Amino acid sequence: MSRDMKESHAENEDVPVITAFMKELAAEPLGGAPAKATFVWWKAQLARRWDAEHRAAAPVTLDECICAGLAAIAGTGLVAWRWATSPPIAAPAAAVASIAGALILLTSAMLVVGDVIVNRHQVRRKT
Amino acid sequence: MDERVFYALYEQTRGSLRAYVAKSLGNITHADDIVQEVYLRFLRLPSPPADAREARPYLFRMATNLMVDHWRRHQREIKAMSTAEGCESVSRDPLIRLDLSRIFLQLKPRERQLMWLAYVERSTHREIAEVLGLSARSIRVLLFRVREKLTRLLRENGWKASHE
Repeated sequence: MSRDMKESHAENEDVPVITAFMKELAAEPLGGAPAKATFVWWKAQLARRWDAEHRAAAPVTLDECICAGLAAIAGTGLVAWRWATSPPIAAPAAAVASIAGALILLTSAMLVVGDVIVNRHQVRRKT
Repeated sequence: MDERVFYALYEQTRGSLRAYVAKSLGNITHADDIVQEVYLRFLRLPSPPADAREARPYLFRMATNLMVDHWRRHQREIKAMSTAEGCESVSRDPLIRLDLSRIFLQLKPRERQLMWLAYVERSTHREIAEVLGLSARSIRVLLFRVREKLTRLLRENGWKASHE
């Protein structure tokens, strides 16, 4: 018995009763079956591998998001620039074409971002 | 950590850790889940200690933290259960089988952990404080209070040691 325990035991008269109770409690069978060491080991290896893959893929994920974000910003900027610079009536076909192009670029960027987010979410849910 | 070293460590520590979690939680299924999670987290440490003596405080600390998380998640459920089943009815109904675990579960979760570490694991106040994340000075006072409470519960439940 540790010194700490002896000191604190001195303050309580019912220590033998409690000690006996705790002894009996500890002796009670737990039931159930604990996981096997091999199972825990391999599960840990899988978790470790997943961690490593996740760490390795993290910069790629970041790059994808940055690219999609830049494309979205460029698309929006192009639309704004064409809107401001193109004359209201003159050459409407060119203005419409460039605005349409910018909108396509913007939509593509949004789709890429959406796809990346959905894919990541699905992979996380599966694992 | 080497596979064989882990197996040896697991065999050395699993029993006591499982008993600690199971008796503190009062549920063997949840206890097994928590124990498994403890070892998974332990193996994910950058350099887990291979020696059982060194590993034990880590394992018990992780188990304690996971139990706290578990109680936080299931606080409402536990409250409902304790009021519905009525711990007091256990002590007043002589027909109900006197179950040691049931008496023990009338203590608060932290009190159960404290008593288990002190009386079954025979940990020092410093070790208990480390595992429970408390100050070493407070352990003595807390233990005194819990002992008083448990003594009262044992009296109320008419418990007597089997050798008496």
